[in-house]
Amino acid sequence: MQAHSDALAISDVGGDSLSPLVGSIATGNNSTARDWLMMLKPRVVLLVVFTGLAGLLVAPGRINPVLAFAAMLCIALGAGASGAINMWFDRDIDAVMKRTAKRPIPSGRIAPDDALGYGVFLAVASVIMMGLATNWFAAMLLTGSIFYYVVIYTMWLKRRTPQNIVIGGAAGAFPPLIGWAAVTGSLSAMPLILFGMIFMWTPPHFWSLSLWAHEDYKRAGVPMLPVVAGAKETRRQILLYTIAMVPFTLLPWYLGYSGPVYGVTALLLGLWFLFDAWRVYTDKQDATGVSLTGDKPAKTCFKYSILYLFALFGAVYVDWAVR
Amino acid sequence: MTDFPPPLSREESLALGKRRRGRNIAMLIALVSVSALFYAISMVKMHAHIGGAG
Repeated sequence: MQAHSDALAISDVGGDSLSPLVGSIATGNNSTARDWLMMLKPRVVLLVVFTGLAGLLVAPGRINPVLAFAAMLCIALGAGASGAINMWFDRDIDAVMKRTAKRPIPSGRIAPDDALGYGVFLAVASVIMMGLATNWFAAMLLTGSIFYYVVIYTMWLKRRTPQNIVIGGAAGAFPPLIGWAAVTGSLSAMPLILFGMIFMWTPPHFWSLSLWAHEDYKRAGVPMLPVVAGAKETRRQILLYTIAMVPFTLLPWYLGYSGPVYGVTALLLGLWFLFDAWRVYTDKQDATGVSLTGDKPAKTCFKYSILYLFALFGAVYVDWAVR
Repeated sequence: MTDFPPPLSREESLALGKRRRGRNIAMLIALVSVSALFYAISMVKMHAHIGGAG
């Protein structure tokens, strides 16, 4: 449910040869309640819920607040479950990356089998509860999002192709679809546009992170774009994706699904994103594109990209409220 | 013969108890919350069903 998620949670990476070193000594007795919470990647879940709620709010029709709350909880649990299974699968590469080595599994506080059981249980529970509380179409979409993130992205693409985050980005774009479907039991153009917005936002967001974290990915053997194609190409791709994304985010306004509040906000936020992407592209660099400024623009762009998505979907909320 | 792990020190035992208590409390909160949510969902669904039938 969140390819963008990994970046937010600041996760991942590794090598199978390290697997025996990881988790084998974990007994579960060392874990705290907080460790189990962290297995769900709460910061990622927050963004997932925020975007999912937008789909739920702007959908035509009404939903009882209790059922709406249940739907959002199911989206959160499904995303969290995906994160837990991701941490189980990636425990070998998490152990060799600085940013993820302290996670509960590589640090031995939670046993891998326990983590897998936890993730699978929550995934199944979230889908069943979604079906019972709202409708089975929304439950099917939730299942699809979990499957996409766990199987398509984590198990298949992530360690095989530098396009992992592009294709896998769809996993993080599901929440607005699920929120919309929870209300209507169907889909239409608006939730698909919201889906597309997150889908197009994911590459520049994630590649900004991978520009300054590529050593971790390299050590772990994950073929992120900067590792495979180099920093120069990554900078170009960040700019190109941002150029494509900004007009796309104006579609709800252009097509009449949102009003000027959203349109103007999306335009201003997008121009700022473009400015940041341009600064990443023109960062002082050597011949191979490696930054000579400590990747300051990339760090700024990464931080802004998170704020951007929150603000963009916040504008969807506000526009919906004032219309 | 079975090799047993060395006994825990008093500090380790206390820390273990504290972690276990924390996990148990979290589990209790989760179970009570889920029960309450299922109750609320059932009430809403039944109300809608009765309303629809009426």
